[in-house]
Amino acid sequence: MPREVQEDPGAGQRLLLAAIIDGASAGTLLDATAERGLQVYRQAYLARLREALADNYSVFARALGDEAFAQLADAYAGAHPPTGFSVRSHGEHLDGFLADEPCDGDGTPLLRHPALRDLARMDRALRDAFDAPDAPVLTAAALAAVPAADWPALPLRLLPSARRITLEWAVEAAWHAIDAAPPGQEPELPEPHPLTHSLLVWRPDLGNRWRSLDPVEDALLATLESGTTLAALCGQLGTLHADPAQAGAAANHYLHQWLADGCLAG
Amino acid sequence: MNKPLRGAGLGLRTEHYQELLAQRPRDIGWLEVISENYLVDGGKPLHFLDRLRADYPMAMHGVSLSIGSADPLDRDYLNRLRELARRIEPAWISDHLCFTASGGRQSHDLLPLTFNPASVRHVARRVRQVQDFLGRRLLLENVSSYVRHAADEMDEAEFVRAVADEADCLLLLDVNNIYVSSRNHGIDAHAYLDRLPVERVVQMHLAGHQDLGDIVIDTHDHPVRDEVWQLYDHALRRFGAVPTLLERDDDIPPLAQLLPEIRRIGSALAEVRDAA
Repeated sequence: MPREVQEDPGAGQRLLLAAIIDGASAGTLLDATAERGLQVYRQAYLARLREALADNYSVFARALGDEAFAQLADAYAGAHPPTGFSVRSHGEHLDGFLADEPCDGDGTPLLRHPALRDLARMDRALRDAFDAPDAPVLTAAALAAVPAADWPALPLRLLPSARRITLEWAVEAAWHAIDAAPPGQEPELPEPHPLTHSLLVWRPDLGNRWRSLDPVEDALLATLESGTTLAALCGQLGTLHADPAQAGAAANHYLHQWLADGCLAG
Repeated sequence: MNKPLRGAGLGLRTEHYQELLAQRPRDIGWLEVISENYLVDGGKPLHFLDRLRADYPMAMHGVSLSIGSADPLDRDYLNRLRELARRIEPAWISDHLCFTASGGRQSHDLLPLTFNPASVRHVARRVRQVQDFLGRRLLLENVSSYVRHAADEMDEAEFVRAVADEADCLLLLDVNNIYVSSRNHGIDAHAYLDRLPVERVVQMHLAGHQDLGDIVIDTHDHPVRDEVWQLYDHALRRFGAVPTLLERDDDIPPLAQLLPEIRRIGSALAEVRDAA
């Protein structure tokens, strides 16, 4: 037993963690019967992180299938081991990890199709919206109660649960099909086609919602994320539409859409 | 609203939210929540927590305090924990006598500490800090373990007792964990129980495990096994009618399938109370 391990509890703890996480030798830290017990901890560590990643990326996990997902989850855990107290955050670096096109030991890509990365992005945005701060939703009735003269200066902001994400592929139908399929039944998925676009995820009450965005609405929602006014939004639309009447009609259209969606904070 | 706990409790899991709200089974006297599941900003977790809190007394049970770690206490975690305690006013706040992270590395597991006087002093000092911060006594739970440290200078019962005495904290006795660790390390579970301080044990846990022959694993995916019920009877004789919780974390069945175990706990506690 090295002297520093006896005197410093941290030294022993770091050795035990290395034995579990890295598969390193525990040296003389543990008693003679420890190898079987270490196996239990090592298996539990990987199993727990696979489960946490699958919880946080449920559609992505189903799209990959058990074996491929486990392989990817273990590779991710090796590249980005957990540090925070909550397993809820496990996977927060997954998008960047997938962007590097990780491969197994034989050089085979861990993702069989790049569109799978977009499923993971959707999962993450929905996971983050799920328990984001609550906020009252701006309703059409509440807006109608505001004198028309005050509308231009009325502060407008997206709900704190709202997230805009960029997708490179049209994966929404596939995401929905997998999400809606009963456990154990994996739906046939169409070949995804490339389409760079944005998606809005938000939670007006207890349930998440999402829909795809056109580029104009995406730009408006980017402004709404940090808070703006109706007048400023109209000004932004004026830069996109030469005809002021068209800009006004567009503002009216989007505002009605957002009120119907319930994605603005009240 | 800080009602004392009495009788049999159930570990709250999302699978049972709707059944608990719709049925409010009388056999379940209280709920224990995994604190970390509710250290969030909003949404369904807190919505259902508040609704269920209106129906049931609650205890908070954490898995991430890492009370034995050599790392500094996580102030962000403790702040959130205190905020949650203010929200639901739990009868108790508990966590495990173990470490989960050290040197900035996180296992998300309940890893055994070295059972020696230095470790007792280290853990007890941190327990007192947490108790001061939360403004209440903490319950520490004994964990299942699969390895032992070569540097151990005392057995687990002595270690648990020494920490509780030095920190002046309370104990959550996990009867299944005692069974599991006793089998894995060849120690006498009854003798272990007999050496714990009666006055500090204020809550108990029961759960299922997997017996692989050469090793027993605390899986919480089975009903409580006979050998653990027998140990529980022994614990009741020593500690009295201590409120006891059924834990189920995997292969979670509908609520109705857990009620027989809940009723068995309730009956056992009632017998002890009647005999007292």
